[in-house]
Amino acid sequence: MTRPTTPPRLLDERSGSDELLRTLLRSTELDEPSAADLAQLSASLEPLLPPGDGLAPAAPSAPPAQGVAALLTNGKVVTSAVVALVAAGTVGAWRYAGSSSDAAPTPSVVAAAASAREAPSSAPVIEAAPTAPAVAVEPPAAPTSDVRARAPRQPAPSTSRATSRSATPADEAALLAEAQAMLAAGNGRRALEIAREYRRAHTRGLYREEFERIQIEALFQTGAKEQARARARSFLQRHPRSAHRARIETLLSKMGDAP
Amino acid sequence: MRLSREMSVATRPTAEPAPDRPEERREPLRFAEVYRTHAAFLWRALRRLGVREADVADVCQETFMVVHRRLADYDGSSSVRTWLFGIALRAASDYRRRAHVRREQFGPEPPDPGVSADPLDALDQRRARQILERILETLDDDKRAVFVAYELEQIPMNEVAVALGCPVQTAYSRLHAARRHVEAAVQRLRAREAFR
Repeated sequence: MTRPTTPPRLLDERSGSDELLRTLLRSTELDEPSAADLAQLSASLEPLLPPGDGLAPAAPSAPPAQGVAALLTNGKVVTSAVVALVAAGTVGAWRYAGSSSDAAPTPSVVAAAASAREAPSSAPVIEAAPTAPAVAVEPPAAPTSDVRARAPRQPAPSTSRATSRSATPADEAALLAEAQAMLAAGNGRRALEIAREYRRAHTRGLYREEFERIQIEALFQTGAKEQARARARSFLQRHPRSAHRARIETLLSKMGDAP
Repeated sequence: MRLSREMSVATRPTAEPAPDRPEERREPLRFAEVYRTHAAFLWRALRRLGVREADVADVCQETFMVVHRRLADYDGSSSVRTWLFGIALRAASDYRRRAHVRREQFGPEPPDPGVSADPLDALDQRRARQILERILETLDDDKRAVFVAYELEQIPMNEVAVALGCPVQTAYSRLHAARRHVEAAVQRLRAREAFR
């Protein structure tokens, strides 16, 4: 079958497109975020970004507020300009109503976490309340024997940051990165330990699905294929729209199990 | 209008997509790097996929949270930009489905292009953007996605197909259908203005 020839883009005059159409398409230049928009975005994502990493994506040197004001028409107020003028980290009252498995955590959580990080370090550490929903729907915990032998009964030292209610999404993200790195390095046992540590400390964590996936892959990696299979099936049943579905289905097929 | 055009140029990220070829990437993705390089791209892609100006900051943040969660899923089979576009597609689709996204909550609608009092030769950029949005809104999701990806984001067609999860031939078919639809809408707009 012959592949279609790539047509010139409509914005290209050589495409022979209508001039009015090109004018309309060029108007999408307005879709670029302003410096204020980017500053606001960086602030709202601060808990996920390492501090002092020069993360603000290419901001212009001109004062942003003036430029953004020029974008206001018909009395419409662009809220981002106002927010950006206030300060970083003050984004609040955001809600995410999506129900898919890709649903992001509510941004208000992120903002709250940013505030929490500024709390005095002497704040008392409160153990997370033992709420269970996420764990209750899990298949019976069945750690591999080799892991059981090695896994510490007590939380690992790094758990101290995670068991606190003031743990931020950044703390969770750090655990996730560590577990992922262990998995990638072929250290499935350590990845399993971290995943269990996470589940103990974050019964309502932001990355429960991610850690479930890591746990499944780590079980597979350590040779506990029956347990990996059982958890994978359970995962797919409970999270049919998960972003990790394809990956887990691939793993199942590696185990000779049709999804 | 001049000022806004200058701003759009000024805020364009310096690292703007040197489309990172999948085969060139072997190391794991770092969120900070993805954010720094592609924040502006993701923002405008969401706008062009139908996220309202007043909501794009929220949706962009949510989308980056999803990106953060899914970093480990990036397998290098497409460019990072294409992978992000796929995530943006889903985010924009979810946005449109959310119960609170209803027209009556958006405040005043932009004037209908068909009853505009503005002569076409006086179209300012802002108004042109509103008209284009109205036209894009009449495309179905699949056609809009391929139109935005190819015509506006200049993503190569084979990568568009990857982002959409469809064969290249299908992506081309959708592109042609979207073009016909958009061109017809522009012709109707021109005809209405001619009789004004």
